[in-house]
Formats: sequence, structure tokens, C-alpha cells
Amino acid sequence: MSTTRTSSELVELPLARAAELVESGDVSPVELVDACVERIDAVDDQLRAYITVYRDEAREVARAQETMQRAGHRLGTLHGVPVALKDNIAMRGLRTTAGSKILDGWIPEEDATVAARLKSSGAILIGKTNMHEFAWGGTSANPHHGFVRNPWNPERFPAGSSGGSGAAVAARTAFGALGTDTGGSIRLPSAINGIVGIRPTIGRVSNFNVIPLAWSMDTVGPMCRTVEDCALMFNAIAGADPRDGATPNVPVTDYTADLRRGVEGVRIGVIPDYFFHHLQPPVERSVRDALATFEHLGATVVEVSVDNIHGNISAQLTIESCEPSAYHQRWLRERPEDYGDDVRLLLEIGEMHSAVHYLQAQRYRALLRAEFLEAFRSVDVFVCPTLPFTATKVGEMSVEIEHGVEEDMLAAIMQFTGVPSLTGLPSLAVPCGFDDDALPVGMQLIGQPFDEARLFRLGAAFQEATDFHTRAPTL
Amino acid sequence: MDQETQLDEAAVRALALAAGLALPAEREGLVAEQLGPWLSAANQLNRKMAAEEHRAVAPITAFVHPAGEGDES
Repeated sequence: MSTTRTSSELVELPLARAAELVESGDVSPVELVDACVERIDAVDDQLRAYITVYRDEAREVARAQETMQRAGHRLGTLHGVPVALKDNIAMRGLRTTAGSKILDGWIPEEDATVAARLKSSGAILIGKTNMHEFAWGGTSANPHHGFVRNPWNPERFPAGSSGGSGAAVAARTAFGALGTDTGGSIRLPSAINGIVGIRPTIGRVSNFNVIPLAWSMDTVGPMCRTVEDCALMFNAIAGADPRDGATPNVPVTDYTADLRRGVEGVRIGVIPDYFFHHLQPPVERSVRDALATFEHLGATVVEVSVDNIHGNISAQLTIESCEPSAYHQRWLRERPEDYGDDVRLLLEIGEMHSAVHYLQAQRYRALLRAEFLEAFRSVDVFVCPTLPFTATKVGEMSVEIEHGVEEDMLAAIMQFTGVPSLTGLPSLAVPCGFDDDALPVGMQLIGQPFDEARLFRLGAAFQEATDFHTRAPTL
Repeated sequence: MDQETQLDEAAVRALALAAGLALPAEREGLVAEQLGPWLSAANQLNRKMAAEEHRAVAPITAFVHPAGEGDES
């Protein structure tokens, strides 16, 4: 192996390029692992993006993969590429905490299916990322493992709950990461950290041995710096899993195959009275500019109305309250003081909804899903902001969207991510601008069930035409 | 906020009792403050979903058949 690239140059490579260079023999897996570890050591005291770093294990795997490659054997498309996992995704024999004190000593006996699939594709798992405790919250202000900070400005939050994954990727400490998304937990930190992330169609990716937040809405998905990288990681993890009965036998495709097909003729739906209502001005400006870019590339923008879209935040909060409180019921009674203040409060609240509240919220999901599926007769995708504001200060529990009005963070942050979560539709978060403080803005592309390939295609066309994804934090 | 779902500490105490949750008294106010607006919104959604036009809508709940169930042996 030989390379003239420095560690700093290596970590700047997109995942797809790093994989190519490993395949060609220009870069070794050990070089990539060392570059990532060096970067983690340089920035993570400040960012707190990781709970556990597998320095020795990752180097050992990298050396083995180097030997395999010299013998002409490659595990798969991600051979030799270091990636990180959110710490609610189990890895056999290695501590998995879900960002909690309660699971601090848990050593899983089996890999989560997504972890096993990444290993099979050749990815090297370099560490477990910090997160909002048990994924129940959107700030990643973790009282047990440190408040995660935003690489674009460490005084700002990284969103969550997959905030560690978002910060880790944006800070160039890993070439990609897995997150989990119940109410927005992949898409929110993707937008706030200026990276790409996909919440898949419910059932497209296995949840086996992933610690649940809300069973009926939980998903796992990749977070990377480019759409192409995300599609490559998605190739490795998508598909039915006999160990997760909620994953149907819908065929998977090569999600990178259509990335260069462009957007000519694609019909983009917008819901003006919801998607462009109650936003910080830079967010509205950036998403409207993105729509103009799509139109310039040959797409058409169609205004659509979805009669019952109002109500989605309440439905989401109800379901996301009740289901975690069922999962945590024993611990909440036996070890309440071991939860952080905010998560304990949310779990207590979840016990106090009625079954009728929960079931009406689940009926609302069916109504909203039917309306979106009907709307997809006239459009191919929807585009909207990922969230209505840019990164707030670390530790804040409220946010000011409109001047002088403080709002509860949890409800405000879910304004747009709740729709795909409730309807089970796939949603791709893509960077689309920056605010006046150089903080990233993201948009969401929402697709039809199992139509992730089209979302990747649109996202790739947008990144081909823009440079937001090429900018890096100066950390 | 709906008047009907403005919660006080006594109401939270009753809900905790019904749930079998031993909620310390000092937490009742915290819970009431956050839960009140959420229940108001949930009750509003209840009214929407109870409307005649939505009577036929069934909840999204799933019975999942484990792999291999129903296979011929």
C-alpha cells in the first residue's frame, strides 16, 4: 500500500471515494482507521460525539482486512471503511448503553442485524456514538455521557437523538454512521450538522437488537456527508430480516444505480400552508431556493393540500409518549433516579395518557397515510424543511422561531419530521443552505413507500448542482 | 389550552395512582406543567378522530407473523 495523503486529507474523503481507494489499493484500511482515530482524539474531548471508541478492535480488523485484500479477498463494497454506530445498536461482546446509566454495563450477546450487515459488507465499526438518553429527545444533551456539541459551532446543539452520529460525521471522525429515527432522530441531526441522512420506509431496515424507543415508528438509517455515501451504506443494511417480522420481502435494489439520472419530469409536491408556515427566515429562504434549483434542473413544483395534516405533532407526541413508557415501565419504578431529568419526566407523562388517546393517534396515522398516498397520485415526492430553525444553544429546552415567542423544544423540533414518522414514508434529509451565522439548514424529501431510490436520485442531483455538502466545519 | 385539560397537582396525583406509579410529590407540578398542553392537543385529536367522517378508520396496529409460521411441515 502506498499513499501520499495525510490523515487530514484522508478524513476529508467522501465514503464512496475512500471505498474506491481501498479497493484500488491506494489506501489501506489501517490508514483509514488511524486517520479517523487521530481525528477523534483531536476533536472529541470537545464534541463528546462518542461514548465508546474501538481503537484497538478497529485496528485489528483493519489489519485483517488489509491481509485479506492482499490475498485478493474483499468482504464487500465497504471493505476497509470506518463507520460509527449509534449506541442503541447492539454489538456482540461490546458495551451498548443507549446513552443511559441504566444500560451502562450491558454487553449484548448478539449483533443487531444492521451491525452484522455492515460487518459483512466490510465496514469497520470504529465506535459507538453519543445520543439523547434512550433516544427520547431531540437535543443529545446527555447527562451521563456528556452534552454532544455541534462541529459548526460547539456552543450550539447537534439536535438528536442521533446527535453523536451527526456530529461525528460532520467532524470527519467517521466516513458514515448509523442513526435511529422515531420522530426525526436521523433527519434532525443531519440537518443541523449539515450532512445527509435517511429515515427509511418502516420495515425496509431491520430493527433486530436495536433498543426501541417507540416500536411502531422506530427505524434505522445511515448518516453520511453525501447522498451517494448514504445510498452505499443503505445498500448494505436494507432488506428483509427473518429476525424482524416487521420487514416485508419487498425486493431491494442497488440504491446507487439511479444517482446520475437527474430530475427531469419529476413532480415535487409542496403543502404551502404547512411546509412554509412558522419558519425562521433563513430556513424558508434556503428551502425555497432548493425548490428553484430543482425546477431549474427540470422538475416541476406542484402545490398540494393535505386536509388533515394539522394534528400530526400531537399524534406523534402521544405515541412517542406511550410506547417508551411501556418499554421502560419496570425501570421507571425501580430506578427512576438513574434517568436524566428530562427523560424521566417524559416517561412519567407517557404513563398518564389514556388508551383512547393512544388509539386515536394510531387511527390518525391511518388517516394521514391515506391522504399522503392519495396525494402521491399527482406528485412523486414532497419537499419541505427538515426543521423550522437552525442550531440553538447547547442545553436549551425551548426555542424562538418567531421573534419573542419561546416554544417547547420537543414539539417545535418535530414540526416537519412527524409526517414521515407517522405515515411510515421514507424521508431523506439533505443540506440546502446556511443561516447568517454559518449554521446549516436542511430540507426533507419525502417519498412513496419503498421508493428510497428516487429520493437518493433527487438528492444526488441537488448535490451535483450545489456545494453545501462540500463545506466543512472549521473545528 | 382547553379548560378541561388544565391539570393541577391533584389531578396528576390521581393519574399516577391510576397508573400504579409512585410519583414523588415534588414531581407532580413538573408533570402537570408539561402534560396539560399535551393532553389538550390529544383531546383535540380525539374529537377529530371521533367525527362521523372518520368512523371507518382503523388504527395502525400490526399483528406480525413470525418467520416460518404457517409453513407446511
